[in-house]
Amino acid sequence: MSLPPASAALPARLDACFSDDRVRSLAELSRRIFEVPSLRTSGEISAFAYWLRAGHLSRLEAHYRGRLEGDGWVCVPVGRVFHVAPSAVDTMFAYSWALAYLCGNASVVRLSERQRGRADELLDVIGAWMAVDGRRAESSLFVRYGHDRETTSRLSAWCTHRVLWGGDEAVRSVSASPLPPHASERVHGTRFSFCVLGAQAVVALDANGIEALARAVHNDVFGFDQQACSSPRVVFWVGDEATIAPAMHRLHEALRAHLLTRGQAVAPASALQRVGFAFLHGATADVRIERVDPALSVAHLSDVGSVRRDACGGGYLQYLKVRSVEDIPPFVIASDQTATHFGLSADAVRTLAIEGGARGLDRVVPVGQALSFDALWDGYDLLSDMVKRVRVEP
Amino acid sequence: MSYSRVLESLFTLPPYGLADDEKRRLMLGCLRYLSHRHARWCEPYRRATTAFFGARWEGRHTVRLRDLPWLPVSIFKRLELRSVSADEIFKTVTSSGTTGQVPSRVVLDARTARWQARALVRIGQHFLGPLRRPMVILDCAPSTSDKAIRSARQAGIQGLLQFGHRPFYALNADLSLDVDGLTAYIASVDADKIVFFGFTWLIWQHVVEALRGRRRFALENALLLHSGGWKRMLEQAVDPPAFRQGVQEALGVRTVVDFYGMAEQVGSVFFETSPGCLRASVFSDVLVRDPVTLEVVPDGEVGVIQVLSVLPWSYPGHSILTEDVGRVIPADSSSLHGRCFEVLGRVPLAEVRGCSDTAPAFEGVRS
Repeated sequence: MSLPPASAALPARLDACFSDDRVRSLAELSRRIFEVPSLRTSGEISAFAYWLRAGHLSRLEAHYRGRLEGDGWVCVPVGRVFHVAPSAVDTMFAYSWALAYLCGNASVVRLSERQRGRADELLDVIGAWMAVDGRRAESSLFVRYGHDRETTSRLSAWCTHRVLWGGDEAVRSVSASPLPPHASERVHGTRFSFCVLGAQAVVALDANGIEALARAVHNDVFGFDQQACSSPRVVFWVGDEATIAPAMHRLHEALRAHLLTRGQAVAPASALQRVGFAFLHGATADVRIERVDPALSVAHLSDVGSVRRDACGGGYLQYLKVRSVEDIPPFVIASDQTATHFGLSADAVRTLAIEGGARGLDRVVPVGQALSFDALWDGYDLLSDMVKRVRVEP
Repeated sequence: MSYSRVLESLFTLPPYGLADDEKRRLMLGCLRYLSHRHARWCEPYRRATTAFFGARWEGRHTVRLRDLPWLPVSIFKRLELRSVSADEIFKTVTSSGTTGQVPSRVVLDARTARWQARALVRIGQHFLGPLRRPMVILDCAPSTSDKAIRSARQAGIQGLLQFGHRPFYALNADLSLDVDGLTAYIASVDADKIVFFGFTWLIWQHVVEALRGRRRFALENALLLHSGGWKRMLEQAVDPPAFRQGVQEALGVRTVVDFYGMAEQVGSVFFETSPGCLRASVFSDVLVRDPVTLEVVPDGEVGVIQVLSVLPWSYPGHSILTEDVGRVIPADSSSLHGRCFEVLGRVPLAEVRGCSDTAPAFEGVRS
């Protein structure tokens, strides 16, 4: 879909929150995406289509009716939403827009110029979907433009809610455009995520189990080229030395096998970027680099101080060994987001969520789910952001 | 025998005059020595090479050049690495940062600067003879700038000025060609001895294209040296043969010599000893590696170029994996020695995706 210019007329159509019409429309979009064979090869787009399916939309509706509606107020759309999409995650713009659409809002979505990957293919399907019913285009506009303070300011002045997806630089840049005093804003800055593996449990896995774990880890680490905020960049291995070594070995073996079956070529530039970072890391901290696979490099860190949160992604993991989950929360800072876990007891997971959450974590989910979008994101209820509650007393 | 003495013996040799097996032995010995030296005196280098290669390269049984440690060129954009004390630093060389990136920084002590200058003289004289020659720089005159820091473009020009006598800058500050000035200069010198020098793209854009259809010079016996990436040239569909033809049409010059070098390994200059064949001098060598496996590829296969030099004493720049793509080509039938290769382009830049969109910063000095 070729996008309209940023000077196009702005959408103005609002509907009731979770109107039948809009819910059915999105379910139709989900089906349309599933019908495109080439999009099935994109894990991220398939995940979005799946999230958009009728069954999940009714769960979102249940959350809305149960948690947001109530006595003493009525729910209405927050109104006009200006979404600024991140460049790293091709599909984030779509989730953000879909939530706004469900709640009856008018949306302008600014896509990143640097956006690569499959975003354009998804936009083609959305474009075809919009063409079917004029009301859809009246509610939503997708644009893409470079540095243009004037346009950003015009759109910011138009909106009643602005959603800024990262990174920090983009946030700083767009924040320079003022919002009307009555408008609200949700900002998602640069975040950092990690993984926690219980060594004993890894060692105890049977052949199927370790294969499944490798698949899940692969999903988390290689989705979006390990560049998303939720992509784990550090792995905490929990256990004693004697157990951790064989656990790493097993996982690496299974990961290599999984990478082999997937047969995806490693881009030279990406490999060199990892090499460049490995040397920088090695020069400035106490690490040992292990090239586990052409697609994956591991930095074995001797202490938490050697972690670099600015690691390049693209298949670079930093390993730390800890005796127990309690050793992890002191590492956590406010901009941390997701901790994935495997092989921890329910209590340990809860401890991590409470102690880590207090310091900054927003999500503690099983390995394999790192990149799964959830309307509860970065600690905020994004659905609630899209709705305004109007106090009413008859 | 001290390292200086070994290098002194190299300076007595013709620049392409060291037979292959002797060269191999010498390179291995020198680079092993330098790797140990830098590991001893440059802590970040020691840490980085230990982290990446382990300690296995340090044994005396390392018998192949390819098994010695190297650094990726990008590290010079992030850290200032040195193996001498701060007060021994004589000058800092920076690369011209391409595509808006952070430039590399490299520090030279007096000794390294001297060695590099002398190596350049030895190599240059192979092409230019022992006497200074009238020189036309196809660039604009340098602006006054901080003497301690030279951009690579100026460093390249500086290095060649020593071969020149009465150098003439042929481009005005706005890069337009000073045709009258050039004509007057040519008339005032022995035209057969003129050496032109410039950067490939500038020469094409501001000399060859500027003269097209206007006038031509007939300097059949002059020499033109040029350097610089071919990326922009290839975007305009101008390949090396087309460039040579364009130069001949504009200036009459038939001897056009490309050379390849980088700010991170000044003094390591690879000149075309015949068209299409960049050659390693007695001071340098070249390897080509697969970018993913990092293994050296068989001769003739395409990979990432690694440049080696016996000269970097003050900083660990003796073995660098570049971001340039190329391949070793079979030596031609000439009597010259030294590995030949060609440069085919750069590794396409990785897309900068990321939630973190701030550019990586130069982290400054680490001792």
